[in-house]
Amino acid sequence: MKKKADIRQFISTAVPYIGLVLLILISIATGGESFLTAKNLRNIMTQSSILMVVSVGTAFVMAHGDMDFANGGTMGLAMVVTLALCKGIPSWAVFPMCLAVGTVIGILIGFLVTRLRVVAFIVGMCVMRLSSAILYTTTNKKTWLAPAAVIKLNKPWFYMLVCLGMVLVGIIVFEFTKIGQYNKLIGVNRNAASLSGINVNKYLVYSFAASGLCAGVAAFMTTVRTGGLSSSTGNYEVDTLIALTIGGMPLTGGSKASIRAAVIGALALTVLNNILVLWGVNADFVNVVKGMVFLTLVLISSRQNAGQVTG
Amino acid sequence: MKKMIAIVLCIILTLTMIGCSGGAAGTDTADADTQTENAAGDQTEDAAGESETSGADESGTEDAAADNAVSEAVSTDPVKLGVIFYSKDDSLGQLVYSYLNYAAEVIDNLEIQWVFGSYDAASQVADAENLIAAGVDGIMCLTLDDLAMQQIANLCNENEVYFQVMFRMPSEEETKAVLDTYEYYVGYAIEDTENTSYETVRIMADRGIEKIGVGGNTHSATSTLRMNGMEKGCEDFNIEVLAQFDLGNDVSSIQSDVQNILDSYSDVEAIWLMSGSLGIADITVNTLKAHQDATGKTVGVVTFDTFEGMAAAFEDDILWGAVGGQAPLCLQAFAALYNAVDGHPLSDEKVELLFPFLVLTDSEDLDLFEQYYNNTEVQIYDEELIKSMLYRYNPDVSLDLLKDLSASYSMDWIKEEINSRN
Repeated sequence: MKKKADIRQFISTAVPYIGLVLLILISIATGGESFLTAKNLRNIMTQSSILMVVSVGTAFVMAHGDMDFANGGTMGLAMVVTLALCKGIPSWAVFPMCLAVGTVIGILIGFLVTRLRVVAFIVGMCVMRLSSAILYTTTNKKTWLAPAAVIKLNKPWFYMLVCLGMVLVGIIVFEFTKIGQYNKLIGVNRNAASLSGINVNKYLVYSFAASGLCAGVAAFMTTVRTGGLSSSTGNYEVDTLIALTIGGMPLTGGSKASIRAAVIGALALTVLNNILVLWGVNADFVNVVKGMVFLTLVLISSRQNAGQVTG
Repeated sequence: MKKMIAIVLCIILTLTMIGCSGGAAGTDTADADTQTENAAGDQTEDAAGESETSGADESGTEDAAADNAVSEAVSTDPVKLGVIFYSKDDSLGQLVYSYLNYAAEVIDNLEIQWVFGSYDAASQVADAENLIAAGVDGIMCLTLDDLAMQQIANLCNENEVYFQVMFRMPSEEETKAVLDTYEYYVGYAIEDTENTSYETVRIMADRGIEKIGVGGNTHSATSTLRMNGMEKGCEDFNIEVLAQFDLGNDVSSIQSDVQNILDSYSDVEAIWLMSGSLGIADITVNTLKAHQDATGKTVGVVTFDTFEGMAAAFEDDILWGAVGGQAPLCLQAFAALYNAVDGHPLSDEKVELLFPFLVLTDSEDLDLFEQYYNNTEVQIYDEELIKSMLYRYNPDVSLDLLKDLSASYSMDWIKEEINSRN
């Protein structure tokens, strides 16, 4: 009996890895020379890096069972505030400014959720709308360009370095500090966590702050990538959700939440988008393929969550 | 076992990272310089056949010389173009998809690869990166903003891939100045938006309208141009804008927005819509129809974009004008790009093409529009016309020829053009 449970546990853990490895192997086998070129691998790493960083932050919020729909909006607001101020600050300060603005917005969201008892999902939608309105208003007359020193960072090594750093810090904070561990515990059972003496509200605010910080980093990366502020900045709400789900993050949070879901999911989603273009798949079938892959992975994920509850 | 999997994944990721941190960008660029290589075979024969004016065979040596001359100038290498477009589900997307795929069918060395569904600058840049990795020779894109335009142009330039903007233009002088420095940036093709917008106001002025409500916003360069044209028109024709509502991404509020204007301003005579897509025009017409039924008073609508319920709306005299018909612009953009990839750019300068809209003002216009334009079975630009825009088939092609074609574009021209084929 225990052996069966162990096997089920192993399969549920391994599925996202197997999915990614299979996807990469299929891409290598079918994408031929185009897929394995240094340029294309750089593309994949660059394209997945921003999504990965946002997803790392979102994982903190999802760990305690909330949906984070504020990440894209936070990115947009962080970019607006930073670029509005960037004429008055040195170029090197743009990055810390993005981080600071993102973190402050995250803390504000945390307070709205914990003190005013507004559902995180609703707060996220409000931030999304607010950001969208501010972006439209600020960019409709004039494109906001980033400082030249910032745009010069638009190199693959920059994205990889920042992404690697954020993932490593994310893993450490998520797995080895109270912020990650308590949030997972809150996701398993909020009442039990509270009864065991954990200051639930404090750790929820920390999780939103972590998400905001990651959104701030992602905002800076997006600024570097696009060269300025665009009215369409920050459409990451759905993609992060898809990436984390593909990566094996339980939608209810809890002990199985992990940063690896962000890494695997963001990579898998990017590789899928990339290989579909390399294949030259008929446009009619691209969304069918994407939909089928996503549905399959969600089915596997939900089965594994069901197993977790009953097992 | 878990450790093994973790190790395998670490190795894969490490290898990927090592691969990614390799040399400078542009090491695997497409061999664009080889596009004008000589070649033989059917394609050259076709090209020679198209470009010759008579079918006389008597002077064999002259023909052979001519063939050689053409084969020296004309590329027979496959041309692979990437197209980045927001969607192929709306009316414009469907027609653009149909027209360009038709071009790929009739031009023997052309392959088109589509990417849909990107709604932000970063995603469009990623699409361009993927297309370049897939080996395209040129990219056409409906760019979402100046940033996307600039980044994709830069990316294409670094990779020696030609880049053509369609349905958009640089909205700022600085952007244009930067784009003009890129060798591989071909140019842009855009609708005559501001003038058409002005003309839509004239439609209302001709009916003696003095007070209107406006649905619009300035969220993009295109919408700003439309609003500018409307504002100029209102100023020139002494039309007062009583109230304005935002046409955002959420169309569910349109009905209440229009109803609020009708309730609050009893003297409103017409509604002007910056966009009628995504059901906006249908909802507006339905609201105005209900108002007409309830009060007996007709408040008309003039709108950009065409929509499903136009026939009934014209019949009820609620729809006074609808603007559409710009999809063939994509073929002009395509011609500019193809010729550049083929080694025969239409101009030494950047190509700037302006394409007219079709303005429908009554049921008769609509019938023609539905029959000839709004029909993916009908190719307004047929094989002959498309080929006439390409140096490969018509060495006399010039930018002026494309501009003349644009200038003659109208519903009557479409009718004449299609009827002449039968």
